[in-house]
Amino acid sequence: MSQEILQKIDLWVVQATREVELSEPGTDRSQFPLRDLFSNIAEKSAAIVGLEEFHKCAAHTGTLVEEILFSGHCYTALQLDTLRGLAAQLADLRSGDAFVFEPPAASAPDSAVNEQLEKIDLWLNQASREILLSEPGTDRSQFPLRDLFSNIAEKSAAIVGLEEFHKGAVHTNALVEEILFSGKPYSADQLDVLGALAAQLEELRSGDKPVFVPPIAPAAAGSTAQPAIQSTPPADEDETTSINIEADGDILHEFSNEAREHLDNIEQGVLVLEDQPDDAATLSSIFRAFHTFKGASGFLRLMPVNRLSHELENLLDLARSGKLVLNPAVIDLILEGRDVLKNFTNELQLQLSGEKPVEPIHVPVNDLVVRVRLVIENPTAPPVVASPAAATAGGGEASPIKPIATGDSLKAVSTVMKVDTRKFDSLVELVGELVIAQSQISQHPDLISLASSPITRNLSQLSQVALELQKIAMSLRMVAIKGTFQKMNRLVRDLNAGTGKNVDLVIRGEDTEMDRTMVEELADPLMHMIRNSVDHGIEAPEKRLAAGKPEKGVVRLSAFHQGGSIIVEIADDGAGLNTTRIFDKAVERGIVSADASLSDKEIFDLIFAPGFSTAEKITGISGRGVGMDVVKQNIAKMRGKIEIESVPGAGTTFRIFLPLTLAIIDGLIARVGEERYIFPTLSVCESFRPVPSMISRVQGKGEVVKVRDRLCPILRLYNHFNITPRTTDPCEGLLIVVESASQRRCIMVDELIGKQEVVIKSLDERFKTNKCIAGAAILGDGLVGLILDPRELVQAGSLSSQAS
Amino acid sequence: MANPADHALSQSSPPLAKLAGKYLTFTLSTEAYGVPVLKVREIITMLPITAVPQMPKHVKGVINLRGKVIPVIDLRTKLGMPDPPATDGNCIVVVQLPARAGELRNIGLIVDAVEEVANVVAEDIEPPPDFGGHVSVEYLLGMAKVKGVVKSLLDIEKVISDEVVRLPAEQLA
Repeated sequence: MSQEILQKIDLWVVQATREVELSEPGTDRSQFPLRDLFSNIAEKSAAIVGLEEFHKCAAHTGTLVEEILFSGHCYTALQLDTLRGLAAQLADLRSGDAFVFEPPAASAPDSAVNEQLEKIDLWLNQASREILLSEPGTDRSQFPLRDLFSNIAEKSAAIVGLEEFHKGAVHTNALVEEILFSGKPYSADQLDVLGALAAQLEELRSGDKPVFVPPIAPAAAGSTAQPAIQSTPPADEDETTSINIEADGDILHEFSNEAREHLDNIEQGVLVLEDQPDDAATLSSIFRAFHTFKGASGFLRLMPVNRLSHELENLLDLARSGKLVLNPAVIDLILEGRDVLKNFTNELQLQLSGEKPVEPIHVPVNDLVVRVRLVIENPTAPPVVASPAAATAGGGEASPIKPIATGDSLKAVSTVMKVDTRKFDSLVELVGELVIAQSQISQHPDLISLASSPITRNLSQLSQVALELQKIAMSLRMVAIKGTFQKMNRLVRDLNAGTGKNVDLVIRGEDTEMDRTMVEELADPLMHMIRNSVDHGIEAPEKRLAAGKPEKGVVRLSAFHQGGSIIVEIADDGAGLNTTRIFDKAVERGIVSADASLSDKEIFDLIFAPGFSTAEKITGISGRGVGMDVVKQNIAKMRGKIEIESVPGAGTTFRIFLPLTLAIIDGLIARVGEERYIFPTLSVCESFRPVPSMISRVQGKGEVVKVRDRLCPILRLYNHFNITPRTTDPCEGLLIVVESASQRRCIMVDELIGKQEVVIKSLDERFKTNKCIAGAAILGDGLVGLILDPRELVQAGSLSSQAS
Repeated sequence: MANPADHALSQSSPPLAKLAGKYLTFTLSTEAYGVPVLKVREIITMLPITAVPQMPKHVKGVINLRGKVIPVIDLRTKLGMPDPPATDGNCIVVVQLPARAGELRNIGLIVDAVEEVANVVAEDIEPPPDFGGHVSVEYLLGMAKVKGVVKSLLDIEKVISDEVVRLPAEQLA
């Protein structure tokens, strides 16, 4: 195995060396293949003992190549020399001619700065030349100039002593971009200004001039900022972008994945900013997210996306430097931009996954870009609002922003790590085995009879460590529900605008951790229920005032642990459920008969019936008929349940009970003959041993038992599964009452032998034919027990119960 | 089961020379069989098996293989031989086969006894006969002569994948 890998690595090294040797300064053809080769080499060598130094060298080279590749420029002679040196060193390390990797001098911190300076000088030189050679009426050099200046600005940002130079570069870059995005050729004035700026930059760089002086806007010329904006043609620029899946497939995938994360961060961040506009850390993180978005989309030539993210980045940059007040209108603008980008990402995802044919994507950015620019141009003016959506958000009470400390943002290093789920699963499996092996050893009669205290001590130490390890392994699956809860913030905000209601969402327990998959699965049901709460639960402001309640409604969303489960509550302080109306509706829909007498709780449960919708008028927000029944199903899928509590006039509370994790269930272990089966405790109501008088046969229903005045059909498990039980008499065995989807059934087993938390293991495909088996679990003695599926049990095998 | 028309199948099966390589050989009843050693993950002694209800007769159930629950198939029953008396020599050969989406799945095969790992050279391999012993010809890759004894080389993927198609109606116990 590792021999094979070594051979591959050697092959790659040879290929890479050849590529480097054949590359010439001023070309970029081999950058992509080299990047692949080195990243492969680094990856494969990481795990091989004896190749540590080699790996270091490979990783270093990989980073360097990536830097070169992403810079978008051709090789310089210097870079190629460094690469050649590194490739030679790699070969030496591999052959054993060298033992220790020595980073080439150029990459030592000091010389790194030098290298950057060298690059900056080179770029500046090129830029000056481009400006000199450009003639009014042409636009050929606008793109390269923009790249050059944005690179210069970016690189110079981090270099001590170049602060003024950086300012100048940023200013020049902004000007070039303005010219570029105006879509017009240069005017003579513009070229003059650019020439002057380039000259000034050179002076700043050489130290001939200490301070950057922005050129005075030649008001008459109409070439700089404000007038240029006004002349921006709003709809001329291309709003569509096409993707090249063949060439960029992998990068696009990566882009789309990362973009989603960034967009989520942006949304959450913006909502935080709404409350605390001067939260520097959040501001910086949004800024960085847009910045990354811009960079990646530029690299992939997704031009409209690039333009929009660029403008938004500029907007946030202004806010960061305290020149722009983040009033609601601006926040709306940012959210709007985020939505456009989100739509694009979704579309991209669909095309990438092949669910949609590949076609150019239309990204409606022009209008938005113009509006963002207007804000950027006039940061202190009251928000110039062009969009009707933004207008509803209310006026801008502009409060001055405090100076912002940017120190924090640099420290924000991610503490999260991505792990392959398969590796993770085997970790959990092995830890489970360890715990079983441990308990088998600890309880082994030979050892117990030894009564040697050191061994007893060691064993108890072992068991503690094993249990702790298991706890940690299990908790790795857990994430805080924060992300899902915060999405609801946005929802309520939009709902307020849409319904004209005034509702506050109060979130509690957002740090409550639960299974990762559950957090995702919960998003849709929650969204639906919150919509319902705002739309149906909370009354209109006038009604609230009339009822003596505060005008502002409150929806409380909370999550907490209780007993062995997680509870998620959605509570509103609205009018409460109207039992009469629900009942009438249910009768109208044919869900219950008009003469049924139901308790309040039973009436509440009617809203979970399929096809039930109480909205008297169908609003755009809720009442579309797919409703609470889907919510209930989704929750049942997670092996959870939902309860309603409602007080007329005081509000309604939906309480969702969820298991701690999807990987573990609390099970009741029952025996039938020699076999053991596991019932999920959550769906077991009770168990009892009947007396003969309770059992009767009903035509068409088979064998039934009377429990608490209700008849419940019996399923003899041994019969259904065709196994030999110890007893065939229900009065000698045990009936377990299971409930699923409001149906009950008594399952007959021999006896209950215990209660245990078990880790669910999926079964091989072939066993799917038996739907009553939901999975398997490894029991305390190391043997496999089968987990039963209550949903199937309550329906299954009515034939076999009749047959008995 | 096996009629001459089945022989046409062997023409579409891989050329015999490609079959050369190492095989794990084992016995079932009175016959000897081989599976490519690269498909064998490990050999374990008999373990208590948890039966899964409503499965074909040859699907014995599931076992715990170091934390993974894997199915176990009785190869004798599967290949249509009479039920054997369980002996101490019985063991489970765990084979690893590709499942969907590039993942591998493990399946345990109960055999009477494991013999050896034999190196089979191309010259010693012959196409499957028109009708071979107990076993349907479609499950055979070829016949190999190892130290003067003829062993049937099993197309283990076919033996295993085949029944998923055949489920559920045909073989319910």
